[in-house]
Parts: sequence; C-alpha cells; structure tokens
Amino acid sequence: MKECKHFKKNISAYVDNMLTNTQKQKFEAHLKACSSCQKEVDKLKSIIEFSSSLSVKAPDVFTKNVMEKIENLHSEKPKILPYARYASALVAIFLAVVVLKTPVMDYFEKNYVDTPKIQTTQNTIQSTVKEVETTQEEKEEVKAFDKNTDLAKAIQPKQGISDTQNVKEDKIESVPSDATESAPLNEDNQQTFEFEAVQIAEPTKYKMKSIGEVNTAIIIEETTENENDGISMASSKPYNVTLNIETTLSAKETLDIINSTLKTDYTENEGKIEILLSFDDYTLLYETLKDNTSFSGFENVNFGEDVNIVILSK
Amino acid sequence: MDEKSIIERIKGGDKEAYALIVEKYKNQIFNICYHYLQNHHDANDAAQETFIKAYKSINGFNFKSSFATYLVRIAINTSKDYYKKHKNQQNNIDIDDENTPEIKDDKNTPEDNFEQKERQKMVRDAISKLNKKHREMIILRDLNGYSYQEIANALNISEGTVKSRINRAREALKEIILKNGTFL
Repeated sequence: MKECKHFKKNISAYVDNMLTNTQKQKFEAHLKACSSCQKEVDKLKSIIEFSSSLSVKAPDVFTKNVMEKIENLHSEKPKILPYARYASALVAIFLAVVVLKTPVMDYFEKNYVDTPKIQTTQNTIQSTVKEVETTQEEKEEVKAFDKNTDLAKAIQPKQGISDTQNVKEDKIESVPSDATESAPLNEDNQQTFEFEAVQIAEPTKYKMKSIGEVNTAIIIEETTENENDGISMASSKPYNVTLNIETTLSAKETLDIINSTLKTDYTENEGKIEILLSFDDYTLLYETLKDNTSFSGFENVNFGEDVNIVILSK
Repeated sequence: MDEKSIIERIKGGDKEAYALIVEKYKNQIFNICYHYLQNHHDANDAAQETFIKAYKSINGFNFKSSFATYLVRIAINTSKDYYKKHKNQQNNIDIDDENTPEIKDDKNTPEDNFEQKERQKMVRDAISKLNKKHREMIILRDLNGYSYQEIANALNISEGTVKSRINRAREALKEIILKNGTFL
C-alpha cells in the first residue's frame, strides 16, 4: 500500500514508543489493516531483542584497575581549571611584571622585586620584558599607582616570579634593575613571547603574541562574564579573557582534530576559523591537543559556559 | 547517597567515591567501547581511559546533562580516537561466539535454543558490518537502552536527528541480516 511507505518511516519510533498519542493511534489502526507492516514491526522487535542480548559486561577487575590508575595520577585534586582564586594573583603577578614595565616596573624593581630573567624549556613560556609604549596620559596614570593597591600587595618583597612559573632553576638570572630593553633571545634560539597590554576598553584584554616558530594560534575567549575569571587585576569586576595558545600543528591538522573529536560546526572568516564549544567539548579538545600545544597559564583560567576558539594559521 | 552528592564529593577531593561511579556505569561504557572497537582488549583500554578522562575533567561537569550522557560522550570520542590510532594495526576483531553472551531459555527446546543462538549470531555479525554512524545508534539505543533524548545530549544532535538516524540504522541492519540468510 502507498501509505505503507509513510508508516515504515515511523516503525522505529513506534517500537521505541516515541510517537505522539495521535500518531500512535493512526499507526496501530494501519497495522490492524496491513499485515505487511505488522510483519515489519515484528521483525524489528525481534532484531532489537537479539541486539540487546549482545550486551556484555566489563571485566571483574575493571573498577580496581581504573581506581589504581587514578591513584597514580598527580596527587592534586581532580581538575580541569584549578585555582581560579589563586590564578588571579599568580597571573596578575606574571602579567604585571612583564607587561607594566615602566614606570611601575622601575618602582618595584628598585624597592621590591629582584626581577629574574625567566627562561623555560621548549614547552613553557619564555618571557622577555618589553617596554610598553604608553601615552603621556597613561604614564601619569601609572605613576599614580600606589603601593597599597592589591597589585602591590600581590607582589611581595623578594619573591621571585619563578614561584609562579615552570622554570629551570639554573637558568634564572637577575637583571639589573635599570634594564629597560628587551632581553635578547637566548643562544639556543628558543621561542620567546612578547607580551603587550592592549587597553581597549573596560574590561582589559591581554594578548600573548608569539614571535617564535609556531604554525597555529588558537585564541580561547570566554564568552560569559564570570565572577571568578582567571585574571583579575586588582579589581572585583569580571574580565573577558583572550589568550593565544600556540601549537605546532597546522591549522588544517588542528581543525581535523577538532572535527574528529567533536561534532561541531565552524565558520571561516578572513582566514580565521571560529568554533563555539560547550565547556564539555572544550575539555575533550584540550585532552586531544595538549601533547602538541603549549597551554601554559591557560589551565588556570576558569571559563564560563562556552568558549570561542579562533584558529589563526600562520 | 544520590549521584549528585557523590559527584560533589568527588569534586571536593574524595577520590574513593569515584569508585561508586565506575561501578555504576562500567558495563554501559564497556559495552559501548566493545561494540565500537570490536575487540576486548581495546575496549578495556578505551573504557578505562573514558573513566579517567571523566575523572580529570569532573570539575567542569556542571550537571546540565546527566553524568551518564557525559560519560557516553567521552566514551564515543575515546573509542573513535582509539580506532584512529590503531586502525593500521592488524585487525583483531574478537566479537565471536566465545565472547557472545548466552541466550539460552530454559523453556525452549534445545533446537529452539540453537535457532535463537544462530539468529543472535546473525544480528551480531550484521552489527559489526554497519558503518560507524549506524553502529553508534544501534549500540546506544538497542544495546544500551538510552533514550532518544540521552542520545541527543551525548552526541550533541537534535532528537529529530536521533529519530531518523535510528530508523536508518535499523533499516541498514535489517538489510544486512536479510542478505545473509533467513532470519524470520
């Protein structure tokens, strides 16, 4: 019968009890009149019954094995993005030192901090201190910076920046407090990152730009404002945070991984690929990309519900 | 203790409480990985990895979906990854008679039981011949009994898409079974 074709589309839904009452009544009325469709329903029910009989059980020692592996993980608490509260102080210290060079930096260098030249292994961030170009207005604003602000309190006397970073101890050196120029690239030609503070509007956005050999930058951008944003500069206001994450994979490889890991649409816009991920999908992506990608500092950011990923190809 | 409280405890640092979660979901997750990868050893690895990944990211779990769908999503993605990484290695499908659960019914005659076993084998072999998308649907709906909504949440697709995919998967399964012999 012609209408059988229409009903056959609903066989699965009928067997799964997913039809509305009206649809179900119509369907059952048709079944009474059509033995062919009734046979199809019976066949499907039988197949489903056999399918469900194929369910297997996990081995007896499964839970024990999983818990042993979990025990062997790093002893810290389960985390994706830990220490939101601590991160604000830690990252504030880090960014403040490398970004706010003068005159704030000079003030602190003279009075508070031995500023080490931070060098890192290939997979961690190496920073060079760069003098930030500031307007006259901004300079005056910064001069008014008071040592009693939260930022000042966060930078304790003689506490090294190395406390907050992965560093090789033998590479830390002090620089003269009157150093204002960028430290040279090291002899091994390791990647260095320049930091610049980009004051766009409130809230402040900070960007890291790589000047080393990476192929793809992934910008992770929070899309919701969150009270416990990872970066907070002496302010209780929430911040939107944009971080560039560098990967040795090409944009195509990165995108392939994203496509194979997640079922997510993306848009291309002037050479950038933008993907909106749910937090759960992001955690899977992080797990997949982390071996090829420097995520330093990024783990400490507490994201809101969704994250924007923008992939820039070099 | 309800599941939400258990998860809150785990987030708070109670590692041991996670064993309760693993016990509760281990068969479902193992089932998904086993029928996806069709190999006992690989399924064991993938299933364990699923629980470990879920544990590591548990602080990001915000109860917007059920924990089951959260695990299912990770299990499917982990199985896919595992398949990609190992597909060039020698195919080691071990979904065979030895590893298939018994379907004996005491009320049946031995002949009936034999027939049932044969039909089960036909369905089993047919499932392994499905393409991955269809197999995914059969695994989630028919082997594990997840609802359309749970499947939609796990795969991040609409219920309407789940409905049509399940329909197509079952049609495909039926075609393969009928091609290979008399079933009913």
